[in-house]
Amino acid sequence: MWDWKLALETLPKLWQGFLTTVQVSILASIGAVILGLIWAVIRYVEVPFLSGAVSIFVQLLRGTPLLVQLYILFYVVPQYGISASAFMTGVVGMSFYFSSYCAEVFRAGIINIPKGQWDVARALSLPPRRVWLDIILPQVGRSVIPPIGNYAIVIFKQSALLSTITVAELLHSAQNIGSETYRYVEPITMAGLLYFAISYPAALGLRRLEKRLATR
Amino acid sequence: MISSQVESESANSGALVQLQNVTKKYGETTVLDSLTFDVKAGEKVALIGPSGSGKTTVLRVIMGLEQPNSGTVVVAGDEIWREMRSGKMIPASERHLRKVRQHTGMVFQQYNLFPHMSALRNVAEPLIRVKKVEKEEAYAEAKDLLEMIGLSNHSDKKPGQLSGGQQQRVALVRAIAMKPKVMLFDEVTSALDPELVGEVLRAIEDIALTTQMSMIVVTHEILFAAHVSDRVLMFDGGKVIEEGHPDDILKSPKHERTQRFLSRLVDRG
Repeated sequence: MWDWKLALETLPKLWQGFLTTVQVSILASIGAVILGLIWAVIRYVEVPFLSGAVSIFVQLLRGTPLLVQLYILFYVVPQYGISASAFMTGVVGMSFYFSSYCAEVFRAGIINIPKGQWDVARALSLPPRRVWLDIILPQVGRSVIPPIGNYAIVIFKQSALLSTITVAELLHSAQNIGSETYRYVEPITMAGLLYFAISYPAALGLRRLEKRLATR
Repeated sequence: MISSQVESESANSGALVQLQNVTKKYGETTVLDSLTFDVKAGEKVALIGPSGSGKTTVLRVIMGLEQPNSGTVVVAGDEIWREMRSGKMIPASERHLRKVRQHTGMVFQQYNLFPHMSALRNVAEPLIRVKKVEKEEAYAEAKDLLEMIGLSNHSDKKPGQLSGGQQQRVALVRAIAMKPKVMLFDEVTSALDPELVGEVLRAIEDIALTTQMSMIVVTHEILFAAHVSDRVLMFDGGKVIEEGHPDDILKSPKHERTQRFLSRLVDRG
């Protein structure tokens, strides 16, 4: 039987976990974007050994489940001496996993820059750093906002997986409340609603942004 | 860095742009066939000919955008596609290309303005980044140049807010701002609506009359080519099949293919 009083009481208890979820999501999104951009540029520029290595690495990241990667980072890697907090492990794991998807988005964005932009950048003798920073990436940035924004929302939702590596985020908090009170329905439902309360408006906002970018 | 042979030839002919036996193949197709011609300092040359004759490729090779399979390309005494390193001539590095490309400016059929920058910044940015001009000075120069072509009211507009003719004129001054010795024009009016063609041709004409820059103009606008150039080269199959003074070429072409090409244009009216 649904207990409204309990449901409302759990909200404040979920707050800390919710904050952690938001923090992890923001950090992992930033990490995924930065890494994804690095992979995409390395692959596009075709550095002899490096580009091939990055290609294989990105395939591995994309081809294995996030959960498996998180487990490896949390349980296996520390055995070789490198360990960090669960929170950092979660951020790193999600950053790398989602960087493989962001790399694909950036690659498409870079390829879709008209060839003429490269021609004129070379014709004007612009140095490579300027070409990337002032000419190419600003144009890539605009086309790439909708898919990248989408992945940020996915990251927010997938952060629930971090509960399996003991990160004290939203789902983890809900499970704790459940195991303490022996009532799981209310805390998990409220947690679900909190995820939805962020992800749905975010998705709507992203769609509006997409429309605005398309018309300018 | 030039070989001694090319040096002596340029001393003889005073040529600013020299192509010798330049060949370019794409797979099985030969686009430039052992091409040899030159352009003197201050000379305005028009390249005419059917599509696929190699006219655009020639410009791209001179600009350093397309590497020929063989042959020599020299602009202002610098060989474009080879450089001297430790006493040996080797294929040009990107750094060498960036240096020698500065002799040449190019205006493209698709304008290729930077869409996220204002017209003013499009012109000023290369000055700041390549010529290392101070920001204020670069913007002042850019403003002057835009005024020269009558676009000072549009200097803060982005390319998307400008007409094709306006965009092409901005592209024109962006290239000229770099003060190249040679200007290349690759069918710069072919993508424009007919009513916008005139303003661009007039701008090019102004430049032709008022500067010492050499110009190589690839165009379908034959009358314009005749009007603005000192010499017309007829291209076909990757070679120059006829060349001469505009009046001679256009009124009494000697080569059969030139005659056919020109007569087809006249019929189209």
